[in-house]
Amino acid sequence: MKRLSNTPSGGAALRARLRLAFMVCLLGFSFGCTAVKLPSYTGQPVERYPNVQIKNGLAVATHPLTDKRESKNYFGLDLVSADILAIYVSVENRSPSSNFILLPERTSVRFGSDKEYAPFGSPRPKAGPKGGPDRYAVFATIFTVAAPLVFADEKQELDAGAINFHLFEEEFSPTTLAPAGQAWGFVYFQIPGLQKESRPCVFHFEGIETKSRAMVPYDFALEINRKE
Amino acid sequence: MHRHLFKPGLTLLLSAFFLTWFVGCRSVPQNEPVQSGRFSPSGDKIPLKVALRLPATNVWMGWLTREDCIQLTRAVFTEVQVQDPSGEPVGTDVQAILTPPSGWISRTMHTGISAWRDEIVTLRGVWILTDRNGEILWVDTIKARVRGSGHGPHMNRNGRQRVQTLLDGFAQKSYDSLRSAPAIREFANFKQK
Repeated sequence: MKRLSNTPSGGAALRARLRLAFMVCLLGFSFGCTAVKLPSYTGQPVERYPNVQIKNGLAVATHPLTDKRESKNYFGLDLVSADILAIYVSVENRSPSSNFILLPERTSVRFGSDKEYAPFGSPRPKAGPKGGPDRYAVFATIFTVAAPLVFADEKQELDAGAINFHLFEEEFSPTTLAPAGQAWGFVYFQIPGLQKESRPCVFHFEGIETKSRAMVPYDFALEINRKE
Repeated sequence: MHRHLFKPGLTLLLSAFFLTWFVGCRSVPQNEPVQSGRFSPSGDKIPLKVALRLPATNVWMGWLTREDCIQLTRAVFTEVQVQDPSGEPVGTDVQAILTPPSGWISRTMHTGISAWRDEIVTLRGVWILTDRNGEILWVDTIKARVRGSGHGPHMNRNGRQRVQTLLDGFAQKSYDSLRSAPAIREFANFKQK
């Protein structure tokens, strides 16, 4: 400031201030534009969730992410307002000897008797030599989850990329659970008009016991309450 | 404040900024073939005759090569019959069919802009083992992740090393998962009886 006060004219002082402001803006733009940091969802032990079912030694807990604050905290945006229902699924194999195949594409959300939704980008697979394997590539495609977000500048674009990446990272993936094994993650459903009303639905999940080939179904009655 | 250094300093800073910016905007070549490291297994193999069903498209070959896939499978199972999509049908003595990830899902996240950004690349693929009737015996999702600074993974030597690390990690995790899967061992034991 001493230097500025010694300048011969007010114009020079203004130029010096503008230079300083430009430098600050440039540095701020360069180092300030970082993508939003999103924490991984910290799941609780299965027993702590209100929606728990245990069948044939396979314990499954579910938690629909409808709380606006919780959604913004973990995904950077309110998923329900984008018509996306994210259901957290936590699975524990408590059987001493059975293995279970878990396929998220075989989950569904049903409203009433007629409206049933498959997970995002997940056609029902038909395993087998003719058709199955290639279709498995599709289920994980949640790239367009962030599509409703139209971003204008680079900071927002970075954030959209980070959100998209986070959705991908947190997704429940198909796996085979060995005894004492655990699996968790989110299954995403795109449901038009989701944010407009609170309504009950049934979330269907299933495990397949590898030895007997028996399918173990789980149906959770969930209330999709819009929480601010 | 040394005023005489201001202009050169500003010019240098702006030049560096825009240079790195445009380098960052350079297009990243797609499906550039990257050779994954050789895979060296050890230990007992699973006593199962498996047909390795390679996918119809060659797009995925840019990530994990056909040879790597065969080598990995042969390191896990006692007998492997490689089956190309256009090849002969599965032999009658084949007990299971292994399908490597045909659709690679990769995501890249940039944590900043231009030259100061970090990049996280995650690769995800699903291995599926079915019986001769197409019933799923075992399925697992393998994820590999790598983080580094700079622009696209293919852009420079460091980027190539990151891709190599990613693929090696994927191959190793695939190998570990196949070998340690109780469901596959269970099926192999059942077939042995």
